[in-house]
Amino acid sequence: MQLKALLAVPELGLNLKAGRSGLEREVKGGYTSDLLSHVMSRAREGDLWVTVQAHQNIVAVAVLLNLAGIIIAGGIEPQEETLSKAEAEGVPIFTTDLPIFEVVGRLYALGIRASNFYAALAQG
Amino acid sequence: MLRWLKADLHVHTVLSPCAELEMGPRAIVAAAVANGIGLLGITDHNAWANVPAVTALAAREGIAVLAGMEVQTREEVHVLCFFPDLASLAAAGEEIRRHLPRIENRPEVFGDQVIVDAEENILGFENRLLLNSVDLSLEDVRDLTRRAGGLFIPAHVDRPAFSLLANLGVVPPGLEPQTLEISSRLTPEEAKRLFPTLVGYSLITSSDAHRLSDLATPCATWFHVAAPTLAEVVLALAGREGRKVVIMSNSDEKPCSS
Repeated sequence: MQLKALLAVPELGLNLKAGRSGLEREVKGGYTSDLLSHVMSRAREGDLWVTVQAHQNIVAVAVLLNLAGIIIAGGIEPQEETLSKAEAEGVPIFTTDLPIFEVVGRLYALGIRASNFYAALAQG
Repeated sequence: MLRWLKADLHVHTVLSPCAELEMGPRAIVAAAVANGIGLLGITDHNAWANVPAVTALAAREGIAVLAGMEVQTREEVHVLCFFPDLASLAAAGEEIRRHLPRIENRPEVFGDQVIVDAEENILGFENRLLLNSVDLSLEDVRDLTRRAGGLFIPAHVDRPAFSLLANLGVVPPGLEPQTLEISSRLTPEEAKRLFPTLVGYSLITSSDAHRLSDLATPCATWFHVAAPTLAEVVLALAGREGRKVVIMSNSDEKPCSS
């Protein structure tokens, strides 16, 4: 599924705030945490990352791991520096008023799974 | 004339709910004397009300106190903020308080938040829960501190919780801290090996004491300064005018290495 397809799902209530140039990216899985050290060691390339962390370092982590994009949930508005960095790097950032639990539940219902977890299962 | 001064810039008092009730001003000063500390940072969570009492008592022992707070930013990152004097600390403290959620402390869950004077009379209790994030970003807190002529230090950056590196992964570009604090569990070399993002930065170590026995740490930060003041500490961190800072082992007073 491409990111831009999620933008068309009204149940997610997504607002694109930055990084329109990356909307064609394929969402290969999902990851949720607000601790960037956890994301850096556990998220996988192509993951859509759901968080309430809005600090500018989230863009650096997304670039580092080549994540598909970032959803900032819970009605939290990212800082201006975060959005300008995301725009410069072409990392799509969405906001939604939905609480994180709802966002992740609805993404799961759309078929998105935790790629790091299933990769580990596949390896036994 | 420059002299070496042993420092512990991260000590909590009974105002911090998570600190033991033994962390009264008298006992803290006595522990500082016992550990040979000449410069003490008093840093309660998002609060400063016990700094005057410790400052007055410490002065009798020839120990200087840096007026500070440990602020918890919106990103749940702990930072030490030091100010040139009590007036600027109080002003910054009021601003921090305005950004602290209005949630009442529950002493039976979090612990008491006790305000005391230099005689250890209880002046009152802080009713608002101090163990919380202020609605200010890391950069907001840095700017607030520096506008007041203060010093901003990300705290215990190697810790797995409430730390710059656990929560934000790397030192954010543009943050430009004058130094970062590592916990006393690691030497500077170990910290830089585990967290390469720290390479090139000045580091200090402190006890983050929540109980008296915490003040006895394996390593300590020493400043080579003309006086035990914030301005001199800032010069030492910059390595200017002959001032410097080193981390030394407390057992053999040699540089603390792994």
